[in-house]
Amino acid sequence: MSRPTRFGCLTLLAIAVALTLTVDAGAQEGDAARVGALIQDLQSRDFDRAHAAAERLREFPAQRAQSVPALVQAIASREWDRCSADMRDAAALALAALKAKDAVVPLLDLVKSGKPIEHECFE
Amino acid sequence: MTPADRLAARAADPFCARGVLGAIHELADSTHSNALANLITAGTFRPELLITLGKVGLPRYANFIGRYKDDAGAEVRQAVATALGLIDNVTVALPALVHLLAARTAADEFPVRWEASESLIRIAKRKDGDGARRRLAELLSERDAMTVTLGARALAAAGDARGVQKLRDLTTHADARVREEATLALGALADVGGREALGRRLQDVSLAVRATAVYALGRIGDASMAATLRAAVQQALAYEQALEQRKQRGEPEAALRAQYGLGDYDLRETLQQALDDAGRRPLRASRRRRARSGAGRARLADRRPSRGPRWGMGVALVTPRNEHRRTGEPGAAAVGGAVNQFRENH
Repeated sequence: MSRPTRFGCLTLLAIAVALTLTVDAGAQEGDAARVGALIQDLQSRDFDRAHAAAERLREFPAQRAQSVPALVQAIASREWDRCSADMRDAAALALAALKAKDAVVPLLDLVKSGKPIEHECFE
Repeated sequence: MTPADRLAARAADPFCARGVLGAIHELADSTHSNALANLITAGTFRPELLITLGKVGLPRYANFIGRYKDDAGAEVRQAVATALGLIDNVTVALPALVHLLAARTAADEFPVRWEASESLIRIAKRKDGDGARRRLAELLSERDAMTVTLGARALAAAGDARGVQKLRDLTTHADARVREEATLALGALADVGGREALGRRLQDVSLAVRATAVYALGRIGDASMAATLRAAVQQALAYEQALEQRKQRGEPEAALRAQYGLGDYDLRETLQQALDDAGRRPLRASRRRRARSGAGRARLADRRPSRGPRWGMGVALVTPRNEHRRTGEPGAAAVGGAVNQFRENH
C-alpha cells in the first residue's frame, strides 16, 4: 500500500474514534442529566413520582455512582405520602439491578428498623 | 391446578415480590454473615434470612442454621432445609436434612420434607456427593413410605438407578399419596423405562394418581401417545362425574378428596399440557416406519395441530356425551381399557 493511502486510512480511523468518543461523551452527559432529574423526583414525597423514578433509575447502570447513594438515602430515611413500603421495595429492586453491594448494610438496617417493607398497596 | 403446576408451585421463589429481602439475597456476601445471623436470632424475617445465610454464609454457619430445624414454624423448618442445601458444609447439613426429610410430626410437614429432598439432590449431585447418595440409599429401607418415596426421588434425580426402580415399585403402593408422588417423580425425571408402570396408573382408583400418570406419560411419550392419553382422561372424567354425584348425594367432600383425589387436579388442563409436551417430541424411529406404512396413516392424524381453541381438542373428544354419540356405547366402557390400548400402541 502506498504511504499517502495508508496515511489516509489512519486519519479516517482517528476521526472515527474521535467522533465515537464525542458521541459517547454527549450521550453520557445526557444520561447524567436524566439521572439527576430522576433523583430529584426520587426525593419527592409524592409516591407516584418517586416510584416511577426508582423504577427508571435501573436503566442507567453507568450512572450508578450518582443514583445508588440517593436510593440508599431513600430507603434509610424517607417517607412518602402513601405506600412507603412499596416505595422501599422499588428502591431495593433498583439497588439490586444496579448491583449495589454497598447497599446491603443499609438494607439490613432497614429490616432491623421494623419499618414496613412488604407491599401495602394494590397495583 | 395440574401436576406440572403443583411441581412449579413447590419450586416457587421465596423472594418473589419481596424487593428488600430479595435485594439482600442478591447482593449480600460472606462478610454479612454475622449481621444476618443477628437478625435471624432476633426473629426478623427468619425464613428468608436463613436462606440468604445458607447462600452466602461461611461453612461454620451450618451449625447455626441447623439449630432451627426443630422450630415451631413450618416455614422456618422449610427455610432451614433450603439453606442447608446451599451452604458448603456437608458434614452438618446431611444428617439435618435426612432428619427433616424423615420428619412426620405435623400435617404441614410435606413442604419441609420436599425441600429437604431438593437439598439432598443438590448435595448428591456434587462431586463429593457419595456420602449423600449412600444416605439416600439407606432411606429406601425406612418404614415410612413417604420417606422412602422422597428418598428414592432424590436418589433417582442424582442419577442412581436404584432410586428409579424404587419409584416404579412405589407406583403400586397401597397409599394413594405415595403412588401420586412416585408417579409425579417418574414424570419429572422423564423415566422412559417406567412407561408400563405409569400406564397402569391410568386406571388407578385415585383421580389424582391418574392425573399424575397423564402428566408423566406426556413427559416421556411422543405424539403417538395422544390417543391413549385422551382415552384415559375421558374415562377419568366419567369417573370424576360419578364421584361428584356421590358428593351431591351427601358423601363428605373431604372424604372423597382424601380417598379418590376428587378436585385435586383439572383433568382437561392436565391432558392439554401432556399433549403439548408429548407433541414436542419427534416420533421414535419405529413409529415413523409404521407411520409411513398404510397401517400407520390413521395415527398420523393425531400429529396434526388442532385448529380449535387450545382446550377444544381435549374437551370435544373426552366429554362422555360426545363419546356416547361417536361409538354408541356408554362413555366409560367405550374406552375399552386405557391400559390395553396403551400396550397395543407401545
